[in-house]
Amino acid sequence: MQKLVIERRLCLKSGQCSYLQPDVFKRDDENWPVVTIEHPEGEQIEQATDAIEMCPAQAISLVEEDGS
Amino acid sequence: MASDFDFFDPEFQADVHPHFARMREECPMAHAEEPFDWYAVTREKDVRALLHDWKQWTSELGPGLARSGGGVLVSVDPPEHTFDRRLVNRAFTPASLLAMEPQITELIDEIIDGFVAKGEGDFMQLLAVPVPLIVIAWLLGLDPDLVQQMRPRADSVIAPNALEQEEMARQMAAEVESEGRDAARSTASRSMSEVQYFLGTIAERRAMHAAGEEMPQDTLTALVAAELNGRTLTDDEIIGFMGFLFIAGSATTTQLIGNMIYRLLQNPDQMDLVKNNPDLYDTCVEESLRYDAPVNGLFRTAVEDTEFLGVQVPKDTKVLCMFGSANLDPEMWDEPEKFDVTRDYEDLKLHYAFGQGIHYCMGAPLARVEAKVALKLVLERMPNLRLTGEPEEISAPVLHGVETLPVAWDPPLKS
Repeated sequence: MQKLVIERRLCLKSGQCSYLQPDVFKRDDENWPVVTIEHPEGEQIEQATDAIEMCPAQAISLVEEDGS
Repeated sequence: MASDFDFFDPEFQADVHPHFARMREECPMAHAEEPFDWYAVTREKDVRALLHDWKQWTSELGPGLARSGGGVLVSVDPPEHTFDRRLVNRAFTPASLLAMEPQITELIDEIIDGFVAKGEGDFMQLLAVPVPLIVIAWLLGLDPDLVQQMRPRADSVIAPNALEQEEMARQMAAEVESEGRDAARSTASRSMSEVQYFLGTIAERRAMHAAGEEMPQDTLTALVAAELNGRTLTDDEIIGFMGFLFIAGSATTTQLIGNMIYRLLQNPDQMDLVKNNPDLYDTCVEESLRYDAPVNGLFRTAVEDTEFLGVQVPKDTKVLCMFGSANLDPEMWDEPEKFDVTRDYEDLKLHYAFGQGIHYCMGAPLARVEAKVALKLVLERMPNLRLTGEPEEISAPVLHGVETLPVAWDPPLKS
């Protein structure tokens, strides 16, 4: 199963992810991005991938999670 | 009511830090009345609030002081902005920009080869100007030699005289009203003097596309191949993109490289730290961006009558979001007036030099790579770098930095 993660260490608060893909990301009160769908499926994976490609900080990724 | 500050005053421009500090403390929503009423916000939280609220604070009337209709990227909001940004990103992904580091290293090495024996010269003309121009030429599919000759004209577009800008804006506003956005895009594009050269290049690329030839992987190819609502982009639209990216990608990075080296020369202790710790290159670039933001700030426009910080702001009023001041706000930074290359990188990278929110600079990864490689090679190949005279400030109010930077260094011994 794939998990959508944002590395805050890299994040630049550009806001691109929540703006381009509001179904999958939102912003908190301090404008940090927050993943709203941790385990995207189907079309959500495409949405997540779009944000991953557009992120100027390269801070978003889909990581494999073992089922255990 | 008189203006709270005079952004165009050479005295203001020559030393922006104390002016920013006074504005943050005394008039956080500062009023100016030249050449017409506008405002500037200087506190970090206010700059942030405006940049993130694009529905209330639009970019549709342009990022400059003039109310310019029609444009690309920095001059549009969603949905056009979304389309524009995606389009350029195809050829401009952060990953692909970062992957240019070896190519940029080779370029800067070659440029230094060309002048290093001289031992002295103007750092801006020798290095800070040509590097970003050549790199943006590669990305756009333009001829690097021709592009270098265009530099002064490109600068005149990013920072024209405020009154001329206003006149141009008036004409365009009239056109927007009578003929709609596409016509205005056309006027905005055609006002650029690079237009003939760009047209020729676009025609060549269109011919390649039509003939099904293999296309270079650059922005021009992405633009020629792009489809918007089932049609391809017009020449004017493509020129709009190219012109904007050309300007945004060159003058700003030139200032970054110049500002960084100038600030290090003024702070020998910091210079030594960086020299002895290559791990600090990234932090040094970010600290330069924070301390000397190459773009002082960009404008947003109120979409309706509103109130901000207790000030009544009529619809269509421009507000300058002062990136350079947000970067020095003591509410956000410890000892903000100290140039310190050892700051914590994770906090430091959240400066406002590239803006924030949906218009966050697309070229940021590229600017960062160019500056880092330039820093590394200047330190390695221009030993004992020192100032030999007083630099001249750049005359464009939106930009912050030096126009000239007279330096000397120890040339390599002749073998």
